[in-house]
Amino acid sequence: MGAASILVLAAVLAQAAPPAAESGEAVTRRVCGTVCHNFEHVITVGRTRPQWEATVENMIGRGAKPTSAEVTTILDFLASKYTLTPTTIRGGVGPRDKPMVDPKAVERAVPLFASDCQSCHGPDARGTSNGANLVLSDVVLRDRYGSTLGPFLATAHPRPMPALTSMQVLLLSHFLRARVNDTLRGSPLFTAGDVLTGNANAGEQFFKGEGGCAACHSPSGDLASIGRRMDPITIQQRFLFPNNVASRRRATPPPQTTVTITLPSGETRSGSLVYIDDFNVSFRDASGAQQTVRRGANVRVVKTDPYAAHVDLLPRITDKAIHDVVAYLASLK
Amino acid sequence: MTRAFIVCFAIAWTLQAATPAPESDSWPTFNGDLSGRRFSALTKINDKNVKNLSLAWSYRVSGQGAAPVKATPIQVGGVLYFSSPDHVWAVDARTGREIWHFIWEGKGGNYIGNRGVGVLNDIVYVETPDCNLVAINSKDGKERWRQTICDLDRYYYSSAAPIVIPNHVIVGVSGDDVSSAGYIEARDPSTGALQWRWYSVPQKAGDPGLETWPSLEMAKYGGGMTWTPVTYDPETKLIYLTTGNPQPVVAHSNRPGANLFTACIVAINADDGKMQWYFQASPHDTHDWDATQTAILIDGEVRGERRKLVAQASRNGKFFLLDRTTGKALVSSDFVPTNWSLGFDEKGQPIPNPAKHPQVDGALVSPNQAGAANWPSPSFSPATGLFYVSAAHAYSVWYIYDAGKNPMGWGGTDRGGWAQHMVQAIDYATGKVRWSHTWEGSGFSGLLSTAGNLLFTGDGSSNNFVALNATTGEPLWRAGVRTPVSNGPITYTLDGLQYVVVAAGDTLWSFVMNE
Repeated sequence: MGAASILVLAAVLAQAAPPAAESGEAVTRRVCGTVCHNFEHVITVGRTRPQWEATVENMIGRGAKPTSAEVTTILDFLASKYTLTPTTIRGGVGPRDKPMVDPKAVERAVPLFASDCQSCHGPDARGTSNGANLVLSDVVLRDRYGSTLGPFLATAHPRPMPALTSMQVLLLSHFLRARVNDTLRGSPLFTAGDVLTGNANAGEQFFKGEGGCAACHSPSGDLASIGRRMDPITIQQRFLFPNNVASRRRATPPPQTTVTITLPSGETRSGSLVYIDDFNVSFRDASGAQQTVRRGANVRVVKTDPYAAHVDLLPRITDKAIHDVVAYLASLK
Repeated sequence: MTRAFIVCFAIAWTLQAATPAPESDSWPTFNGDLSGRRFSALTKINDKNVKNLSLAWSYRVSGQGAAPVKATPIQVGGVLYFSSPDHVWAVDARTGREIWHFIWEGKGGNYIGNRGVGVLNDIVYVETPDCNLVAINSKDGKERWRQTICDLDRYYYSSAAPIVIPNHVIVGVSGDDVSSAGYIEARDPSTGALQWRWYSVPQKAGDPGLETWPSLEMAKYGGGMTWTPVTYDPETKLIYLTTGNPQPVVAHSNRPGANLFTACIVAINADDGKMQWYFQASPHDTHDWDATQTAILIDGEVRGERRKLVAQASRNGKFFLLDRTTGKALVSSDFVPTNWSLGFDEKGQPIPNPAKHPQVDGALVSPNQAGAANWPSPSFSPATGLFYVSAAHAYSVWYIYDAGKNPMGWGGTDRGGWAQHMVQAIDYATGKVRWSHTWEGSGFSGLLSTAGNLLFTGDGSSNNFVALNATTGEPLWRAGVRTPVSNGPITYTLDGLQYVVVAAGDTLWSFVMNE
């Protein structure tokens, strides 16, 4: 039965139009949350609009008697406030109809999973010696809101659980899909650990000595209080890769690569580099004008990368020295 | 080209695939021939006249998800067939005018790219993001049949180009989100029916390689995707497959061992799908360094002895030359500087340095995740004896995010980084870099070498399609193509004119020598 049929059925059953001022929530509470179950039961799990339509249809089949106007109001309310939103974790991959997850349903499933499933499948559903890793399970990966999970648990599970209600199955379905999403790239579980493992004194020695950092930087100048301004992993990334695009998101414009070109005549031109390939080089001169010179065997082009000293570090710096420098810079509060 | 000629050509190809040389008036398979060389014997365009190469036409694709075009076009009968996720086009190779455009109504999957189609007689084969192998009429672009080749619910998808060999269409699968097993399949060219499937990782007790995993469950879902079209030696009837990285990808505490047959070059019998030998390019990989770079077949001399060889410039920065009848390594070397290994073992396989596995507090590793090479196709020129690869000297810091005992998914990543991109021209017999040409821009591009002493490719983010002298690496010609070259270039002659065709973003560009 589709939404249109619901409306027809509801119209036949119509008793009275709702008061004009009654809110969507009030209508839903009155129609769906007073006789058979309370309102909180209705909104246990978020659903897509087609799922809410099917649910309302089901309830009418069980004797609910909303008017057609009430059906529309209830559907609009539930589908806007208690809906499901596509996951942002690797949302663009996998089947287009992959289940969405209601965090509230996941939360409600935790005690159920803990009491009925966790001892064999582990708290993260990744299995123990007594039970399978459910994140790898075809039953879980093919499930759509209980479609395969329910029948499996009722009959095919090593310890069948026919007593589970459809609501419990639905909650478990949300919980298990959340555990699948935990493993995908971009999962909120994937965050950096502690990178502050080095020796600050050794880092200071490297900074002043072998690293050659002090030639351009000063702990009391440009690096003053850097330990307060940046977290350790940002310090680590910035000092190794200062010219990486991500590292360049900062308030002050980054230093530019400059270029000096010697023409066959001996004339030299220079400016900040705009574009270069094997055939042409473009730069902005002191006046702000852009010039392009065609490259050739008799045209000498020398680039000056302001980050060259950082690039030179990459083949020779050890991981220990990296961690020591991070510890040193992080100590500059 | 008439239909009869196409049929004759197909038969001739079936019989003569043993002498892999591109037909001069066609580019009939992903790599031009089944050897993977991407070498053309054509010389009308050469190092002396390439400066006169000019634009013939351009064709801009349209449609959701249609760009960038990463496919290598197939050209048979004067028609170019190429693809992107959910799209296939037939375009007149002389005029660049569209003949048909097939659009697949997909059910999801990953739209990162599609490497191209396969063509046999009047059928065009394409893999779709939602795990189908689809046969399309080459004449009118209508679907003939479809076969499901992977499970979308396990986050598999299809991006590889089907490879047509005698009696089989070989298809690979992609995916690295949900832990799943990689495999390739042979399908019946007429019906698409499954003939055999070979898994990259053990599936049951007793399977070879299981001893390199801690448990059957870890092995069974251990990855090893087959992203890259295979190469094939019709004399030995062996398919040369390259396999992807293991899973979990970065965090690896629950998969001690070499994790066979991930990150391997594998020889598989084409008729029964049985493995003949393997060579592991990245034992126990922890850096997403799939070894799915093309394994190129070379017939040449090594240390004075003529041999049947297979070579790969792998994502991890190592070059391997193997005897392709036995899998024994003859050369193992670095084609760019790397810092992650402790030399090579007695089999010629790299020995990973445990300190350069990803670490909670970070490990500076070269190369980065994108690798020292990636999917853009390499090339081998028998004229110069050089193996050309689009390469990068790169660094990034690798972190473990899930330091627990049972990580899943990636469980870590690399961040930041610095990279310098280049073409490396490697002496196949020694593994030594003969010349290196560094790009000003960044990024990888596919390569094409020709008997005209030319190497065609893109110069990364500088947005040029360029020709280099194949012997010296000297830049000879360029054409601005608006965005980075996004596929591997091809060449063929029609009406006595030699064309070079390349894709850059949403546009196919055709260049011709009007002499």
